[in-house]
Amino acid sequence: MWDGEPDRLAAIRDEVTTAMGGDQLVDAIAVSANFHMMTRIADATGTTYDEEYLERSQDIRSQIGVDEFVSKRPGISS
Amino acid sequence: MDFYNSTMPIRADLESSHRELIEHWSRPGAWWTASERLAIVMQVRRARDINNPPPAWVPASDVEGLVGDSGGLPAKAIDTIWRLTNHPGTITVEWYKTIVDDEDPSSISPAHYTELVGVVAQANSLDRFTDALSMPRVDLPVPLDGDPTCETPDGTMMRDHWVPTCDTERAQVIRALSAVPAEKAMMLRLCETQYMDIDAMAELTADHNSLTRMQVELVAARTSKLNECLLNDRPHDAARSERPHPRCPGVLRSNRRVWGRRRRCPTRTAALATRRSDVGRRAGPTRGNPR
Repeated sequence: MWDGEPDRLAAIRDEVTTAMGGDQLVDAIAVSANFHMMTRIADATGTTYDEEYLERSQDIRSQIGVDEFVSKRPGISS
Repeated sequence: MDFYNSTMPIRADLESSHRELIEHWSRPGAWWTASERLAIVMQVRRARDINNPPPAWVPASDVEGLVGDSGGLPAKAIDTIWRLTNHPGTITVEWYKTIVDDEDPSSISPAHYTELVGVVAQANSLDRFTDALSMPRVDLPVPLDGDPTCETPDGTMMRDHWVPTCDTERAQVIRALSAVPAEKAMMLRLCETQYMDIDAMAELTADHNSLTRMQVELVAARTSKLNECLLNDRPHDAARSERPHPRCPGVLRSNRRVWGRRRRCPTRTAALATRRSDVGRRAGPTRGNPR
């Protein structure tokens, strides 16, 4: 999250390690790394919401503003 | 010998999956050779490390001296790598169509594109893991000889994604790479060790490794937000056809562009440059670098 800011990154690592532990730091970074992968797969393949979640998430998507993202792109025929 | 020479408490299963990933890259894929796959990873690293990467609407291959040694990758592949690495949230279907445009001799096939996406996403994941821990990036192996397998799963056709898929089970994002089974399998393997086994996702209160499910999802959601990732809210309705591909008999697909054409040698033309410029205007500026 802080590419190009090694001092800030190191400080955050120290803070997380102190507050939670080294295992938690590594596992959190692994989760983040995984979603750098999954978001790119979704963004690049035109992955759609699963229908079962679409209606249920309508309110929260509107509230947090993610509907304004460029990646809320239309389907291939639009 | 440890894969990571680090004092950090990296779990053995996590380390093992990353070792498998490196081996995965070193083998020929379905549509790219091993040399090309490793060139893709090297290009991801170049795109990540450049100071002030070009904005989303500027194809990296158009910027003199930017991409360095292409490793034999066509310009459209280079442009995909840079955009997906640095500006993933700006990708649009219009842009995708320019990458796989069958009328454009510099285009790559949807099959090549799908495998490329898998490798680029994996490389971003691995390098962001080591970078975040300030560890050296993993050395890349020597590529193995051999031709791409041209593996085409039965039932591959246009469904709900921009790219062809063959899988109708599980969540849409899991299906996204189903037309290139080795990339889908690698994605699931990384998910298993970095996030959680997909089959365990329905258990909402279970801890995962040292984190609670709530902590896991907080990190996942924050990372997705930083990448400005939002799934499409409706599937495309591209015409579906069960006409067989002329070069892949037995494979269901909607048109010749969908599957299996080997890419042609990229030739940049004035017309292409004009088209790219037009694409850039349509795509518009990115709202902040997601890195």
